[in-house]
Amino acid sequence: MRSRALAAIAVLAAAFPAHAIRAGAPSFAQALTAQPLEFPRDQGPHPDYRQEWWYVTGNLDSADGERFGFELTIFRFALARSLPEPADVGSRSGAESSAWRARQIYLGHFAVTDVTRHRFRFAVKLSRGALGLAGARANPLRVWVGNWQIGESLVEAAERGYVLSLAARPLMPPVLNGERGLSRKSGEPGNATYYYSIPRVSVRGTIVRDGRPLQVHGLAWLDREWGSGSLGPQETGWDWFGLQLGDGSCLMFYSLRDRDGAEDPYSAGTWIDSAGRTRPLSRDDVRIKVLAHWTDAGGIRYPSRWRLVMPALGLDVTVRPVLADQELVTSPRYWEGAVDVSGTRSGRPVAGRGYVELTGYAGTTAGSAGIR
Amino acid sequence: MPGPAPTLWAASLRHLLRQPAQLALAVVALAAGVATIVAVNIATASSRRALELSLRAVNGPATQLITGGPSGLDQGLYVRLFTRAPLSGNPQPAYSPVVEGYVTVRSRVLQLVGVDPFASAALEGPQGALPASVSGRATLTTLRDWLVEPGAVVLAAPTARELGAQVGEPLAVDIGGVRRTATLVGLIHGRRPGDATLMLTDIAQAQEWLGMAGRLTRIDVRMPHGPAAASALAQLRRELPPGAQLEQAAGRMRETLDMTSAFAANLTAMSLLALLVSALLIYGAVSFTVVRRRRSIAILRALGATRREILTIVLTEASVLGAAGAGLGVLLGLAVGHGLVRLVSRTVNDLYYVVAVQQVALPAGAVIEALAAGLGTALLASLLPALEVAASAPQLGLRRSVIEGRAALAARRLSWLSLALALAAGALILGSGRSVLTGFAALFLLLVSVAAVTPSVLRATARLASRALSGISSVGRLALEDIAASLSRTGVAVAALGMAVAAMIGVSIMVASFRVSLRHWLTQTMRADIYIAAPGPGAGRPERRIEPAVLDALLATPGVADHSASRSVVVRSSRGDIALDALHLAPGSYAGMELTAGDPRAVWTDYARGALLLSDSLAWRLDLRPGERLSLLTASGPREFPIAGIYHEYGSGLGSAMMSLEVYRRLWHDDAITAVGLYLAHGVAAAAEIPRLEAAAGGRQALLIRSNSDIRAMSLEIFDRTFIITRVLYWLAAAIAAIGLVSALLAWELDRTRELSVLRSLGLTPRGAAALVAAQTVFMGGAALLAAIPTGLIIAVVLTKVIDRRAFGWHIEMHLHAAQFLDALALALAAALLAGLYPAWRAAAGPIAGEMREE
Repeated sequence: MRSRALAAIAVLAAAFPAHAIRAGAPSFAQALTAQPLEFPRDQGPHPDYRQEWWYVTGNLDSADGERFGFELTIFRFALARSLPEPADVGSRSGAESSAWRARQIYLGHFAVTDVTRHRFRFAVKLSRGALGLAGARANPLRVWVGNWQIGESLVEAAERGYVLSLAARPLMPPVLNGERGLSRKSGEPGNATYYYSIPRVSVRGTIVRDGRPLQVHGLAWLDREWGSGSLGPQETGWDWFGLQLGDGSCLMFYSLRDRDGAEDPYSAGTWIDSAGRTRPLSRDDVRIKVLAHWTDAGGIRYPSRWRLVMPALGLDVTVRPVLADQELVTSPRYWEGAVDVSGTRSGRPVAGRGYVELTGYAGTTAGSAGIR
Repeated sequence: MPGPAPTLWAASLRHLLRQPAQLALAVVALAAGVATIVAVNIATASSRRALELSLRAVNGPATQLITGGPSGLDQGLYVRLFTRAPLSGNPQPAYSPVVEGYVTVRSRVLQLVGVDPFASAALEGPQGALPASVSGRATLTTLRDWLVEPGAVVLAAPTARELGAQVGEPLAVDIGGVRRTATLVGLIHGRRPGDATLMLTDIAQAQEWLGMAGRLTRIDVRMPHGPAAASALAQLRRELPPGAQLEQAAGRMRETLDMTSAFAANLTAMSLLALLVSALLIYGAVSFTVVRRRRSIAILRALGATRREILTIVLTEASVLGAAGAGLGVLLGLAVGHGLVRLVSRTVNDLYYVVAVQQVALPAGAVIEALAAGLGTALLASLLPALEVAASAPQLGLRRSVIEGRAALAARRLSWLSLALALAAGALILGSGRSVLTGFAALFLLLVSVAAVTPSVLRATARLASRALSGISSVGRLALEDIAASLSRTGVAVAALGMAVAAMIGVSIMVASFRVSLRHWLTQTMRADIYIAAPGPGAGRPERRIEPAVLDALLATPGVADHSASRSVVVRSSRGDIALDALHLAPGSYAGMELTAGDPRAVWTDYARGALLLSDSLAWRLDLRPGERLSLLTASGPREFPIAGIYHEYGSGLGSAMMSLEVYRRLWHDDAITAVGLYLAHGVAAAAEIPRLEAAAGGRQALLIRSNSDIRAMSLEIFDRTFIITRVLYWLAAAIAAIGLVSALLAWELDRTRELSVLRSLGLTPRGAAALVAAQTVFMGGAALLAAIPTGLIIAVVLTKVIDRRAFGWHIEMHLHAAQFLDALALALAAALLAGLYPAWRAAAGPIAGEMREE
């Protein structure tokens, strides 16, 4: 699920007003039915869909016991299904069309949570998909914006004070979420994405903090989604959980929130047991209770601790952010942070780590957010 | 210190109020001088400000710029900088690629700036999350339109309004003669004045329109502050390919602004001239008001008023006068300045850069400066008469003959001063080398020297003429003796007129000589029958080029026998930007090049091998001679070029260099052609060939296709436009002089009402009285002319041989024509006659009895 509306909101809310699909203009491909996903093909970009993302989050430990979290996400947005003919180039004989012409935009978000130093820092990088400035390809996987990249076996990005450089190795094959990879977000056809995850990716490498390299290793989570729709009109945002438990099992669950504050019936998730077997989850399979809140400097109030209960699996855990402030003050604002998990499964203690994403709290929705 | 008693102030006020016409004229004269300063200041400051704003609007927050040669930079450099920057936790430089040119929209020139919104956003803010360059400057309805809509452009809201462009509607633009269709997709709101002359578009669109696919005009760089900057800078320098240059954004801007300052200095000198003329007039006016009051001042002195009190009163009067004149002048200057702005910016556009003045700027400093100059001038001008009257003993105050006696003595002394000033001017010119400023200083000394000698000339000629008339006309004799005897009244006004006339003669000889030289040069150089060029603003703009297919069609047109071709660009040299004309000369064209230095036998062989030829102006500006070398930045880095010769040219004042087109193409990888000169086959008439050439261009590109004679006429038209400002200014100076003369004559005439009454009572008819006064003023005009002619000639020499040479490096031959002197004659006589009209009318209408009653 992840930041689909981020997609819509960050750039496209502005880029796609209500009249976005013009008469006669070919419209974007729609995620309507489950289709077999193929790898490595589907690792790569799906340019006919309006938006897509490669989302890597992970928890890291340094050799001397320091704790970090990181997020590196690259979004792709298509501005049009196809490019119109370049404006009357014809009369200037010999003039070629410019290589800067592009219909794809790539947006990178990079954040580091430095638990020991109580620091959370993020950066943004934006470019058009042209001239190799930014782009994506399937085999070998490489998605990049400038010098930030998510590759088949590496993750690299830098911001003020932090350089992240990790070698990555998936510990399991891709897990298809929803209905064989088709994840519906509302009752309207097309408000859906193709969605797969690799919940366990072993990562190992360095974080250069303030010029000093630290050896780190840990576990990351890759989320992949593409589609052309948006949220339903009554939906305002979601709370997404990606938890990796100590016993080898993983939980992905997104709770969609409606305008009236109720949990939307299209909330869903996937349970992956330690053997890699998956079980789709619906709204009624997971009960979430907010235990605490955190308010940012601008007065935006986010939930900040949860009790998550899954009666069918005997799971009862508390999810705690490693730092309260892991808010990305971008447009739109959202909270995406490393969390600790502790509790019991079938009566036995269980612990774990993960990432939580909270969107739609800043009071903007896909429809109203504009470019700042 | 106790001030003057209230009675003294009351007397002063009464006096001031009794002479409203006199005062008004003095104030007007001063106002005119101050107005000229303000107007020139406004005009130069506004064009400079416009240039600065457009540079700033375009450069934004860049700290450095990466620039290339005439065809720009390979865009691969930007791609490398963006994608291959080493990952670092230090603050990183931000880069923003820019593709830039000029477009014409409904006859208005705008700067087309193609940017990548994401990169320029990153340049503007450290977060760089969103395209701030678009959102910050414009309320874009959609980013999508910017990137996807064909021909998408954004304009400042006021500019769009002025052009009648609507968001969402197509807009026809002309780029180098090729018509394009733009679509206005957004407006820039907010009030950054520099935005008014911009047309923003996506970098892809700009590349396509300007024919610059694969190239960038430059890359804007924002270096981080702090310790990381030095290493980032060093790193960047290592990345730069040969042919690319990293320069400070501020330095670049300064350099561009400096180009226009020579021009501004010219105008400022002119405005100072106007003030100088008005200073003399103030002197005249104040000394008149003081002299009028000798009697009352003498009475006041006799009643116990101290010298200091008298001095205070007179100087206070002068400062009131000065403040009023200066204040009025500032207002007047504001009004005139608006008109002058247009003239100045057109000149700057013709000669230097494309500047669209949107806002009239008046630096606060300039107003204060002008007020101070006005006040200072009034005080200085009145100091002498004030001192004199304060120093005079009570009884002497009553006697005119003493004053005139002093004036005659002063005139003799002034003649010596005049000689000294002229000598000083000569010494200054000989001793100052290349300085334009000292050239102007010498010019002022010469003008003052005319002013100083004029009273003596007036006196001497009046005496001579009076002697010649002895026994022929007693009234005429009387009139002339009267002039010679009234130097204190007439001398200063005539001196001012002399100065204005001398300046006029000098300037008009210079302009005319220049024009003749230019015409001669055009005839000499323009050997081809028809010239074809891509239209558009900015001489060295890369987008000004003839489309290759169109060029082929033109050259294949029947009737074309041979051709010259040129590529005009601006290249970086070790000495700053220079205009470079890369030429392929037809055999017939060589004869047109007039060499002023260099070995004529070897020049063309060296030229073909890659040597440069420099124009007079450039050689003078850079102080280079044949045999020396100049380093130019080629596509593969800096390269030294020998200088084979210097050629004669009256292009821009900045000059240009010439190089073989073949050599240029090899070293700069630029195949474009800016202009061609066509030689027609024997018997083919240009007028008949032009329609055939237009047909060959076939509507693909609107080219300037002009016959040899049309080009000549056009060049002279531009020339004349350039000198409109000069003309405006010297007519202003002449107007000030005329006002001064009116004021002086009125004063004199008031002084003589009794005399005239006596003459009238002795039988002089009203018409005779009018004729007498008119004849006197015409005589004074003639005397002014007599003093002005030789000095005017000298001034012309100084202007052509010293000022123009020093400012622009031009070689101008002096050409004298009767017309220039006739102009001056007309001016002097017209000013004198006009000035005499009112006094003459008064003399004719003056009552006899009333004036005699006192007797």
